[in-house]
Amino acid sequence: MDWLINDLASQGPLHVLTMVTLLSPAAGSLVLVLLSISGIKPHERWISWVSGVTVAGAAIAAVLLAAFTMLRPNHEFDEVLWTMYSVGSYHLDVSIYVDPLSASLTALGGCVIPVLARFSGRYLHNEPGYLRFFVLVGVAATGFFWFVLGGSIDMAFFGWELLGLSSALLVCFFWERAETVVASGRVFATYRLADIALLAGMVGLHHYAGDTSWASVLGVGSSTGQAVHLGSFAATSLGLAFLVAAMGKSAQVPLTGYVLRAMEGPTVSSALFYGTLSIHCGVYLILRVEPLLENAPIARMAVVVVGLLTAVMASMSSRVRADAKGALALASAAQAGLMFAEAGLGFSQLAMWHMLAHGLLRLAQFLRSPSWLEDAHARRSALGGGAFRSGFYAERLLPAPLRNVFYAAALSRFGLDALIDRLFSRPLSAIAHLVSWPRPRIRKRNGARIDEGCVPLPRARANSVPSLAPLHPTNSQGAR
Amino acid sequence: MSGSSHAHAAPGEPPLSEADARVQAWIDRFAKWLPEQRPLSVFVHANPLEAFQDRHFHAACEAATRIRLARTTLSYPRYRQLLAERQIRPEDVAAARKRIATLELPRIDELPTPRPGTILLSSVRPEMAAEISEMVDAFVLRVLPPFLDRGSALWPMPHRDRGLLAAVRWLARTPLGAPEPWLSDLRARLGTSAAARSLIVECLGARGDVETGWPNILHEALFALPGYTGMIHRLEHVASERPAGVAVSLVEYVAVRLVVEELALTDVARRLFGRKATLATLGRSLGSLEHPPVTPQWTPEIGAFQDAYEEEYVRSFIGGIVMAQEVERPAPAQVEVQLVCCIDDRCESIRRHVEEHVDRCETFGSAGFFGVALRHRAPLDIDETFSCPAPVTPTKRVTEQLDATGQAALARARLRNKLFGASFGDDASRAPLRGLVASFANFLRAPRTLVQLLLPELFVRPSHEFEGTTLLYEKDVEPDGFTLEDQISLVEGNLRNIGLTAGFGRWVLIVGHGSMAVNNQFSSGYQCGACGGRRGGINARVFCAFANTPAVREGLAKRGLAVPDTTIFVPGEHDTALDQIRWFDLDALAADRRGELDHIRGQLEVALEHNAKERSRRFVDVPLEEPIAESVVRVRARCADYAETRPEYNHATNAACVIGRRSLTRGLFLDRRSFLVSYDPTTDDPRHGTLEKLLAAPLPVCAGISHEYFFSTMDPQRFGCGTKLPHNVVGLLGVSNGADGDLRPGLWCQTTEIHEPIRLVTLIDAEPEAITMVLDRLPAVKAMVVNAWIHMFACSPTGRGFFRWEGAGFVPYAALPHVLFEVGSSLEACGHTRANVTPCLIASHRSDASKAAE
Repeated sequence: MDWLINDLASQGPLHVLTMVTLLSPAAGSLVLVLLSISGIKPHERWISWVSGVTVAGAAIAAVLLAAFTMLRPNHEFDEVLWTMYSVGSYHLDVSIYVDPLSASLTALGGCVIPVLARFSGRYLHNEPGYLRFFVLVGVAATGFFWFVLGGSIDMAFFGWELLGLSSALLVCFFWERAETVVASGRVFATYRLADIALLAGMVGLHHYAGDTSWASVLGVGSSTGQAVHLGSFAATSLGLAFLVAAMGKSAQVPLTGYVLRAMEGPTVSSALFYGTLSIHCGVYLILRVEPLLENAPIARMAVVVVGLLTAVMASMSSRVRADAKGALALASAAQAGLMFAEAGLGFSQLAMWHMLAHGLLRLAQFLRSPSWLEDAHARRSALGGGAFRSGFYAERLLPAPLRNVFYAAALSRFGLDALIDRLFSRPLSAIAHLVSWPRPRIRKRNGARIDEGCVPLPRARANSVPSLAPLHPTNSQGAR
Repeated sequence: MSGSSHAHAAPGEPPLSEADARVQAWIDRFAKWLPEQRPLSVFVHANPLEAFQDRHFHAACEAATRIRLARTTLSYPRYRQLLAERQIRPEDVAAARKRIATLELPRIDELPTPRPGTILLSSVRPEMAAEISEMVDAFVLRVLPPFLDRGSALWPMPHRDRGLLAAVRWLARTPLGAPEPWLSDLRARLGTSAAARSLIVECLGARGDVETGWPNILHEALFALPGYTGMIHRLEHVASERPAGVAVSLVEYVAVRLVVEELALTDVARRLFGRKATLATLGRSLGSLEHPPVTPQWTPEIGAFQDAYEEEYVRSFIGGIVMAQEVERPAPAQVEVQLVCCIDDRCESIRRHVEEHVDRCETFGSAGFFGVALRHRAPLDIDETFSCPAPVTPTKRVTEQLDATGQAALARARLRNKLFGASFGDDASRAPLRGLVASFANFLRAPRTLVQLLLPELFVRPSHEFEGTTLLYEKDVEPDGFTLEDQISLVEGNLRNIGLTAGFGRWVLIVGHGSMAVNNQFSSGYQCGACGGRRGGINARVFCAFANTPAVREGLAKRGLAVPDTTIFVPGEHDTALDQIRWFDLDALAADRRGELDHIRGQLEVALEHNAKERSRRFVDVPLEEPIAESVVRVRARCADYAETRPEYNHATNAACVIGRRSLTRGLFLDRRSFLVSYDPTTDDPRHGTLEKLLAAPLPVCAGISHEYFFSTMDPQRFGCGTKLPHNVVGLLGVSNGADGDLRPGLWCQTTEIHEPIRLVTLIDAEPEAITMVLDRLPAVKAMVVNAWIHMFACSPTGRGFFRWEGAGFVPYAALPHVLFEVGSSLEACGHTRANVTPCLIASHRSDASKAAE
């Protein structure tokens, strides 16, 4: 056994695995982008092959990396790959950090991403955006692995951005429809809020701790980090910043509404992001910064409250949803809320395993969602009658009038979307109107009806072919 | 405007006021344009413009471009491309233009031009209009899915039994029911008791004038979310499809929508013109806008292009059949096996392959429920399902019963499922704490799921419904069962319909069909349409049970239909995606007959594999030159593949319908493009009663399939439902894009992608006079023919040649000389290409048949 640990889990092999994990999916996407801008229209099989090989390579490397790290005596692997620059005591590194927490999420991503990439190769057959999808899958895989394996918050931030960008772009995968673009904008805006919070946390950490690498700052694992020595104000404000970032990514109250908008994408991308990876990144962040929360009871309390509120509210909203993907998305948010609460209460091991288990469950449920109808019938037959709904729900205990009040609130998702609209979207769009001058003039001056934009025949073409005469000037009779 | 609007007032109510009547009349008029698709579990194809089959096809196409804002033809560039590729002939275009010019097409449901100042969503600034639609739709789409839900939500909506208006009133007065600030007046605006129609009149009055404004506003309100509006319209009329106890009404929906729209418009007006602005302020500012005339989207030229495009297929299809009549294609002298399939176009190929590979065999096409309409309850079922064509409501019941041990096992399994399902099933996983349990429990299942996602071919499991059960259908054991008399009439009726009245072989195989496809939201659209979107095996089983009963045979003999004692009817179910046939009730066979049947089944297996290979040429990922066995494995693996959006191509290639004897088409390769309905004009009664039945029922069904494909191909977004990938199953009713989108009726791109939009080319094996006589008795079908919704041809059984319906009647049709290629087998005809193939003659039929004749 010792030789195994000494040889396989040593610096060398782990270094290679790290490089493959971090670079391979990005390389795949780059190849695909180059192919597409070079004017070659690659065959679908090539595209899925390039994407499959690079993504699966990264995933296998990531799983091996996680496994070998667990073989090491301290279950940790920390390496600075490249110092981009250093000024005085400050240095910006590209580094990785593997410990049981990141190893577990890596294992989940490593199992799920290549399976979904292969699945999508068949699922997206003949879609106009086939290549774009696989480019974005590569970007998402890159983002995910950089986020999870990144050794410092700077690197994690980079991955976090890529993941957010690719998921917003996949929401508007069918960009010929206006609704998807609007929805994608909402998703992107929510992610920006989370990004700002994470950026604030990052800057704060730089300011208070002077360093952002997980190992030294948070002292995750064996050593004691600097974060523990931060004052309670610093710890609380950093904790709250990370909480807001995590809330955005994991769709916690009051930012839950965007997951419904995000269902506009193809079902595979909904499964990948809102069932499995993206939705758990917030939980991962909370688990990651847990040592910081030790000193910040207010932030810790906030994590628990937000988590529990989401668990109750999102699962209620999920139960009133009559559609498959919406119900699943809200149920995922509710489970993520529960994980927040577990993490905040100190059950971080439970939260970690819960994250893995839930990711696999929702993945299967999302991918199966086209069978929603048949599953409902099958369940009904299997249960031997009665309604489709099974089991017991807490609201059934309430008296009818109160229950109905809860129903109305659950249906509007407790008015939170409307509140956000009122407090943020409306004022923001008003400001945007003030500052953007001249106003965009989409409408023609003659006041043409707007639905002309979407009528099927291009008008110019229709007018330019007034009759067939010019096409066949000489013999329109019996050419053959 | 029709004067029938008063009919809408219930008998007890006072007659409608003038304004109410106007509103109702416009709503009724537009409602005919709404897509009427049945809920997803009973998906059946239908013409989206069915209400206009009594108007000329081109007139309806023209009107649809205005009312539905949808395309009903291909685009000009596409037609010009087809012209360049010689798939359209210029002389056909010229002829079609002349023909259309003489038609004087009426403009159906023309909307008046709205006066300036009418407040239409389409007349405010586009970015504002987009925002208003978003606001209104967000509210409406939050309420409608749970309101119309057929059992998807775990927590059903309260108060929906009182109708939409009451439900929205309840939401408006409940805290957080309608939390948007701009909806704060909703409660006051809806009042407490105002009728829906008076709310509509009130809203309309504030936005435009009666003559020109109202119709336009109503048009916008009805077609803003055509999917839901169509579904509401359908559920209002079809009680059996409505969620239990829910009152659904289109007028109430329009009222709610107009009120919400008004509030959104007011909100926008306030933002534009200050706090005190009202709708009137907005109206004044819109007063300066002129509505320019809208450019027509349908022109006689483009209609002529379409006619000419279809003409090319007509020529090759009818031409092929005409030429085939010149060739001697004798049928087997001694028939031993008679295969009765569905009329489905997918069965065209299986019939051809069976004739190629099974000795002394002939085939028939009968509507897939074999004339037996029934309510059916399988052992696992809780509810009865109707296994019969859509418009029929069956009265007879068939129950399947398991034996005692089976029933005990079922009860145990149910108890187990109940326990497991309630604690960590899919529903439970949506609750917080049980979701935690379910997540961990899923660890046990997750490896299997991942393997299935990667290697679907390991998971091909054909359906096992109704095997080993006893059928209860006799009147004395089942009160709603079939009497002996019923059984005799049903068997006699169907055998006479298909013209199988003499020359029975030793085996009559009655084969219904179904389709296995996992993870397919449109699963019921792939099943047998004649069985109401369900698998047809049960109907075949019941039919054979009747036909094998000695008492029924006696009764048949008395009615002049002598079935020899050696003839055995065997029920089966063909899985059109897997290409396998499951046989039922084989235990009753004697050992020697069983051996004989096994021999036939061996030959059928070869035919099925060839059929799978023929189908595989449409799947781009199956190489054309691949050996049969490998392609068969690939084709079957598709059915278990969660990632497969095209488990089979369904009716995608349909284009024609032949009602007649098999001798007309036997030995012809028709490329799975033709519905084949068996009909024997020589055994029909003098009044042509059988032909009347066939024209009344199967023909409109085939035409409906064809029309739904036609329009969904022409406009995949407005008539079709777009691509399947982002679909979300809503309320067990339909699909939408994303979580809060409109319902999407129609067909999906993954099936229309290989469809050639052609109106059904119908060929009937009967005298033109007989057909005309029958059509006079069927006004709806006649309207379809007269108004050019289908192409109609007749082939005279007495050798007078071919006739084509033109204008008001049949005229002789002279087919141009047509090259009919002769090929060795079906696979040789099509194996080299993925494109459509024109009719070919299959030589193996001739050699087989001539061998048999020797």
